[in-house]
Amino acid sequence: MNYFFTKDQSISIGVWIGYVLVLVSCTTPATLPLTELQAYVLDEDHGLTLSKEAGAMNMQVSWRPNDLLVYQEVGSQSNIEIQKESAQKYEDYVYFSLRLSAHGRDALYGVSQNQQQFSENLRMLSFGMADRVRLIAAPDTIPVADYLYDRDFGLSGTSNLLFVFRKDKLRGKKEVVFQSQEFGLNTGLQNFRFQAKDILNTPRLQELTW
Amino acid sequence: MTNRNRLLYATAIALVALLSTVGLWIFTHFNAPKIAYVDAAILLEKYDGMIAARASFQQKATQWQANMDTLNKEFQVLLTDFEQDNGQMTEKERTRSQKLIKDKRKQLANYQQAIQQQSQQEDQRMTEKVLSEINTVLASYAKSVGYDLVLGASGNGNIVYGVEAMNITEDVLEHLNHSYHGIH
Repeated sequence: MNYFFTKDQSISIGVWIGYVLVLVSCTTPATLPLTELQAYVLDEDHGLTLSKEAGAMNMQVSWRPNDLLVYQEVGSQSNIEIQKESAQKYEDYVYFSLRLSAHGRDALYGVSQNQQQFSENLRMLSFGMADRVRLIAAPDTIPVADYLYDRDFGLSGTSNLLFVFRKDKLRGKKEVVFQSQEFGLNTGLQNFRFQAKDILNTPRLQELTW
Repeated sequence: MTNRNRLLYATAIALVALLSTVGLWIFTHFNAPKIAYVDAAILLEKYDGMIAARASFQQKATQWQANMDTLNKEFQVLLTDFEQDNGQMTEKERTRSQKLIKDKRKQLANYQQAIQQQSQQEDQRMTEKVLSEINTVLASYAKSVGYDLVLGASGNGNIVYGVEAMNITEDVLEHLNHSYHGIH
């Protein structure tokens, strides 16, 4: 039988096709639809979500892409100008979310033993966390510009906090550490180390049209 | 038994004894719990997290003291005015001024007491938080290095003596400060 390629050539081409397929499958897509981008961020293999156990507490910190915040504000129906205008508001800042749970419950309910402790923990989560959290991009330390404790009264099973930091001191840094100091829930000092390349390689949100 | 045989027996016994000793040493060395101790007072004093917490507390304390000084000054002015005008006051004015002074003094005492209480509570809270940070970092350090037990010498006699080789205070302090600065 007369083959177009010799046996050696076929093997060689097969290897190259396999290599290209592996390369393509490993490459991060440029854009992702909303649900897939959310899943991408939460997938710890991508380095954008880091978890730690601290005593009874489970701590999960995620970098939150600005695209998700823009989308949350304007949705997919808006025109490009509105989207860009919204993006401008967020572009000088970086956002990290912190989720806390204990014994599978919202941390606030999972660890508070009595009314006084509950009040103290609630006060700390609502008003005191700006002093207990910071970003470290050596040699700079970046304080919390603002934060929000999104209280949902135990419905989601986690205490959710969103932290905002100014971005200017992060430029050119290879890694950034989200540091949580003891804030009353016996978590102690915890460092969550994010790599700049993981953040920079994050796909854009497909729904934003520009 | 010939001399040669005697020598062989003696050598064999010596060899067995040596092997047993070495085996025993290896067994005890690798099975012995790894124990160390830290000087808690030094950790508290030199941990950068504690130094920062103290500075923050000092800032608050200075503010409270400034408020206290303002109230105190207001009270002194009131008292001086009263002493100066006392002779020219009517009975009604004198009674009113005395009541004002009494109220101000009470306010001052209440504020002072509240500040003292707040200061103590804040100090306690601050120390608890720092201790919790030290404990978590110390535990993770001990685990990573393979210690089975780390004792805390607090200076009140809970560890009377320990060889310097078991003192890991400096290593822990370095690890602690590196963690605080985000290096680890």
